[in-house]
This record gives sequence, C-alpha cells and structure tokens, in this order.
Amino acid sequence: MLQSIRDNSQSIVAKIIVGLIIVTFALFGVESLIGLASGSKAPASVNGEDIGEQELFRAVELQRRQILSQMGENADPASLDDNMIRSMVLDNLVEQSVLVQSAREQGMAVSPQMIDRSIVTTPEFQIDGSFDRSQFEAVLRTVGLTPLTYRDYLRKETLIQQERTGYSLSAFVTDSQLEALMKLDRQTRDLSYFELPAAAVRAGVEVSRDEVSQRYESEKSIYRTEEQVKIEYVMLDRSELARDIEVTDDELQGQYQQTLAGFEAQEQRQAAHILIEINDDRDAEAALNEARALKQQLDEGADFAELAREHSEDPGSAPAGGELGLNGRGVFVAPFEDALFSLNEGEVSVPVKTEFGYHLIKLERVETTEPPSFEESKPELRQQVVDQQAEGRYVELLEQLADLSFSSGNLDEPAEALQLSIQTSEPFSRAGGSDVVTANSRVIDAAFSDELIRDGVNSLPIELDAGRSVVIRVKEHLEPRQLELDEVAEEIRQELIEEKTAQRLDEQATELLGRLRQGESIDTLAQEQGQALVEQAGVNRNSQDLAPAIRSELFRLPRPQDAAASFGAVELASGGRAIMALTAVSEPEAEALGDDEKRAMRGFLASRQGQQDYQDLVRALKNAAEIEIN
Amino acid sequence: MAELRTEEEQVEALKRWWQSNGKSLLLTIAVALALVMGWRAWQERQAAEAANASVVYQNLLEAVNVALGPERSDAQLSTADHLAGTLKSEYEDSAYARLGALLMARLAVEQDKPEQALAELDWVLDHDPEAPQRVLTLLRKARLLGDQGDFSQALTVLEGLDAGEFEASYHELRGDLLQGDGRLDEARDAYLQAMQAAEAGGARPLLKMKLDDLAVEEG
Repeated sequence: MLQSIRDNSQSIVAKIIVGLIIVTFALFGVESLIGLASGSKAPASVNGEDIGEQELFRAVELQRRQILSQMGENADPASLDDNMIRSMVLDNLVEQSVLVQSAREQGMAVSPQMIDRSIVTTPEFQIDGSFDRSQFEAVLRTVGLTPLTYRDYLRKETLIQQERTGYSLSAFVTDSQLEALMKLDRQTRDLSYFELPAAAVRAGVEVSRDEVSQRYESEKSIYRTEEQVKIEYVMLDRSELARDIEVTDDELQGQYQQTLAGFEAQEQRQAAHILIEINDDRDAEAALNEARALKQQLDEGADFAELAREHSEDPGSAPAGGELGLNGRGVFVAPFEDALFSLNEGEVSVPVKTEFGYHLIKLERVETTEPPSFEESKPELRQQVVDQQAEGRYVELLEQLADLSFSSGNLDEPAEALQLSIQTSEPFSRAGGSDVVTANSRVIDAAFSDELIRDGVNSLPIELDAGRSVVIRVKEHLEPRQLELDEVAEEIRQELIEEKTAQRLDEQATELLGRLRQGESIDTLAQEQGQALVEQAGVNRNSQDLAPAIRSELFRLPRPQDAAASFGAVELASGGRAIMALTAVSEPEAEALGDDEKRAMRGFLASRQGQQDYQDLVRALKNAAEIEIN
Repeated sequence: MAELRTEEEQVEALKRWWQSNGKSLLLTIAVALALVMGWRAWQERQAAEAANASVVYQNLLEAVNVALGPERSDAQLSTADHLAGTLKSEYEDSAYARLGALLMARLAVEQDKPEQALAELDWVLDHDPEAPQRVLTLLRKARLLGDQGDFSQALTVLEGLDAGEFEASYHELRGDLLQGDGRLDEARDAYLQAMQAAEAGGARPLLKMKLDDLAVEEG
C-alpha cells in the first residue's frame, strides 16, 4: 500500500493533486475545509449563499428595537410576535441578498473609499459640521451596530441603491402618453339619473315564519354565542398606598439634606481660555513652549483678554477675549474640567493639554445656585418621601400578593391579608371588556388560559401599568352555545327582508334598463316611478356633487355611440338603486395644461413608472434566484 | 519502510528523490504561485475598475437628479453627458455603462430629442444586457416609437417578447399603442390581459381608468 503511494506520488496525477491542494489553501484558506465539516443549517440561502443565524438574529434585534421605540414608553416587548418579525426580517434579508448578488454578478462594486466618504458626510455622525468618531460610534451603539457591521450594511445598501436609482430615475413619460392620460383624467361626463328608493320596495316585502326557520336550520352553525368569562380580581394600586402614608418631620429633614448634597454639584464656573493648537506646523513641544511664554506674560501682569484675542486659536472664543461663559461640570473635556474646577477665582492655570492643544485657563467667577430653603421646598419634599415610601411598600406588597395568591385556592386570603377588596367584572369575550382591567391584553390572555378556566387557579400578578397590578381568577366561564330560533328569529327576518328587497330592486333596474335601451326616455320612466330626474353636466372624476357610487359608475359606463346615450344602474349606500344615462363625454384640449403643471405631472408619472419598473425587476430577480428557506 | 534501515540510507534516498524530482516540484510550486498571484492581481484589477466605474456612476446619478429637478441647467446636462460618455468609453462592458445609457435616454426624452434617446436605448441593447434589463429597454424603445406615431414598428418591437415579470407593463403598453392606432377592440383585450397580469404586481389605478374608458355595452 505504502509502496504504491510512493510509486504513484511521482506520477503526474499526484503532482496535480498536490498542486490543487496548494491552490485551494492559498486561495480560500483553511476555512474552505472546515466549512465543509460544520453541518448546521442556515435559516435561508440564496443561490447557495447562506444567510447566517447570527445575521438574522442581529437584524431581528434591530427590528424589535425599532418597533419598540416607535411604540413609545408603554411598549411591551412581550406583545411583539417574534415569529412574525423573524419571518418579515428574513424576507427582507433574502431580498437584500438577491439584489446584492445580482449587482455583484453584473460587476457592480463599492470601494471602501466610497463607504468612508458616505460615513464622513452623514449629518448624524457630525458635530458642528465635521465628522466625529465618538459620535459615530455612539449613534451606532444606540441602534446595536458596530462600525464593521455598519460598513457591511452600507456597502450592500449602496449597491442596491445604485441599481434602484438607475432604473427608477431612467423611466420616462412621453408627450403622447401624458396627453392621453390627461385626456382620461380630466375628461368630464354629462348624465341624468333617478333613484329607486329601497324603502318603498322594502315595505312591500313579506317574510313567512317558515322562511325564517328554514334559514335558521340551514345556517345553524353561525348562530352561536361567543365564549365569555366573568372574572374576580384584586387590585394593588400604588396611589392608594400613598394616601395612607404619614411623613414625619425627621424624614422631611433627611430628604432635604439629600437634596442639598445633590445641589453642590450644580456649581457653575465662568471661565476664559487661550488655545495653542497642536497641528501640522507645530508639534506638541512647540505648542507647550508657546503656552508657557504666554503664561509668563500673564504672570508679569499682561491682560488675559487681550492675549486671548491676539493668540488664542479657538475661533469661537478668541474674539471675545477667550470668554467661555458660565458652565457646570460635564461640559468640557476631562483634563480641561479638572483644571478649571481646581482653580481659585481669578487664577490662571499652567498649560493644560487636551486633544485640541494646550490651554491656559482663567477662572473668572464661581456662581453657586442657592438651594431653596427647607420651608420653601416642604411640599415637594413631602411628595418625594411619599413616592419613595409608596414605591417601597408597593414592591413589598406585590411580592406578598404573588406568594399568597399562588398558595391559596381563592382570592379571599390575599384580599384579607392585604386589605384589598375583591371586585367582579362583567362578562367579556376574547375581544376584551370596556374597563381598564378587562381591556388589558395580558388580563385577557390570562383569563382565557386553560389554567384559569379549567384548573380554577389564581393568576400571577399582572401589571396594568407602572403603579397598578391585579391578580385575577375566573368566576364563571360561559361556553359558546347554540342560540335558539326564538332568540335570533327577528335578526334572520331582517336579513331576509334586505335580501328580498335587493333582489326586487335589481329586477326592477334590469327591466327599466331594458326599456331605456328600447328607446323609451329616461324622463318618462322617472315620472312613472314618481321620482325626480337629476341632470348634471361636466362631472369630473373628483366631483363632490354626486354620490360616490354614482360618480364611479358614471366613469365605468361605455361612451355613448352615435349620439345615443348609454345606460347603467348602480347600488347606492342607502340600499336603493340609481338608474343612470350617460349622455356625453368631453375631453380637455392639450393646451389646457400649463408648462409647469405639465412638467410636474410628467415628473410624478415618470417616478411612478420608475417605481413600478424597479418592483417588477426585483420580482424578476427573486423569481430567478434559488431561494431556500429552512 | 523496512528496506531503509539506517539514517544514512534514508537521507541518501531523500537526496536521490530530490535529484530526480526537485526541479519539477519547484517548478510546480512556482507555476502554482504564479497562477495564484496572477489570479489575485487580475481580480484586484477587476475590483478596482468596477470601483472606479462605480464612483463615476454615483456622480452621474447626482448630476441626472439635479438635471431633472427644478434647478436644471445646461452645465448639469453636460456634466451628465460627460460622465455617461466616460462610462461608455472606459467601462464599456460594465453594468454601470448600461445603466448610464438608460439614464441618458431619459434626459434626452426630457429635452425632446427622441432620436438621441432611441440611440441610447439601442446602445444598451447592443451591449448584452441581462434578460430583465433587455425587456425593460425594449418596452421603453417601443414607447418612444409610439410617441413618434410609428405604431406598427413599435408593435413589432414588442411582438413575441417574453416579458416575464414585466408582463403587466408589456400588455398595458401594447394597449396604449393599439389605442393610439385606433384599434380599440384589440386595445381593450390588451388592457384586460394587463389587468390579469397586474394582480401579481400590485394595483395600477391608471390601467383601470384606461380599461374603463373603453367599456362596451353588456350583452
């Protein structure tokens, strides 16, 4: 065996194999072999290119955050349907992958330089009009991205955008197209019509008991009540707890002291500075020397403001004598702040180095905001103390409530222990009731859960909002049941009356239309029906003078041929019918449109067409791709 | 390896093997390396070329956007012209050149130069576009021919075209051309076909309007 390998290793075949292995490693690295071994299936693949579990996870997280932030502060993460988000996000990723692959295959590409440029020019990443790295990273963090994933995202989006814009921007609308559309859109039509009111027909309709019971038997299954529950609950309310809290003067004093402690940080300092920049022309040492020289001059009595005007390289403050105004902590970069807050009034610092260069800082004035007096802030303090204690008590009781309601078979025990009253709701269905408890989606879910209905246990505490929680149990479960004929007879009778009325109206309309087409005049027919004939000329597509049903039917009627009218009937919102005659169609002249109006309309139509083209293109690419979703 | 008992013998065997095979082995490695490096260099060149075309194209998009906007100017138009020309001459086979030509066709239409627009569209068709791009370009070409009143040639362009996912647009365009040519019954059929095809591709209110306008008396 070994001998044969050795013999063969000198053959051409072996050399080729060795060569192939070398090439494989050189081109694709070790991953090419490792990748073959790992077997876990990706959520989806497009033309054999996987969309990884991690990529999907990241995108889902991003989407969740976006949805939650749109929902505002009452957002409940549990209410999001994760499966739905996942499949939606996966669809998007698949489409993205299809588009990126197609762009790549056509040899489209985005260089790292283009991405750099795009990042640097994004306004969200700029501070005072120039790109700021820490701002960039901060913004990305808030949406859960790293610079690397963002670059990748940007690269894909740019590729897709290049193709999308190319197709949608290149769509055009020709003059003849515009003219034809305008003729269509602005054409006006003349009509006359009269109504066949439903009321008269309805009055003549009769429905027998037999018909009602027949309908009941044939559609029995739809006449059922909804499943409902009636619940009992106890509610723990923080604002109720707050009412019983007594506050002692000692506690108020304690709170006041805390407020005072917080106050010291509110000291504000008025400062001025002179900045000597470190830049291409001047290294750190030169800058330091220059700063020292200025400090020397100041020590010898030179005027700070004058020197700042003359030498400071901070364009914002130099003209004002280096003045920076009154600022608290957290405004300046750390070394600057440390230096400023260690100075005494009137003092000038030694040169302080920051990322901008060397600063000489002068503390001009310290302003401390006077804390309010104890008496003044008493009401506010009392509220704070009450809130704190109520919150503590609430959390404590909530825990007790959870324990007690879990261990006992009814609500009596927890209610007694926590001095809460047991309340009973009206019956409600899965659509929810009308009060704050039974309208809450989590209460509804719990009330219709098997545990509560079948096992008759107490629920866990359910938070209605930040200060209110309830524990519920099902008092009565109303199963859906078959409704008796007597209970629904009236409802069925009404239904049948409406059906018969509609049928008779349709028959009448057909007959009348037939007579109109035979040549009888619409005027005569209207008189015969005892209805007024309405005539309107020059109705356009947006006309507000006609019932919407009549107007839209009017523009669906055939154009009148050879000076004869064309006829139609339409159902009205009131239940009646309108019998209509279209007598004339007129189209506007092309010149009726101004140049600007024409241009605007052209632009609008072209961009519409462009979007359509691109949509179709995306569909084409998707259908051509081999998409596998696991 | 029983026959190679001592170290000397093994070394000796190795040396012998090297003498007879060393050169060809080195040569194989050298060739493989050259191939790899050549392949890489070629790929890099391709990437660099694509990236350059991409930058030109991106600038073209901006120029076209301005040229179509309210602040259009001759300067913008000639910038767009120049950029599209660069794409066509220096990156003739790239997708960017074709997209650029499509954009220039639009600009030509907006300036009322249909001949020029047709030339741009023909340039795309001559440069091996992918199937969807080809369909779209043909549709636009037929639209332009129709605008010049040449309905029969326009319909010829569309004849037998497998429009794929563009079917709704394809039939709608046929309807427009037939309607323009006064063949109303055929136009109605075409619009009906477009309506059927459009169900997959979303609502088209204008199409509905065109079809309704050709309504006939029932029965």
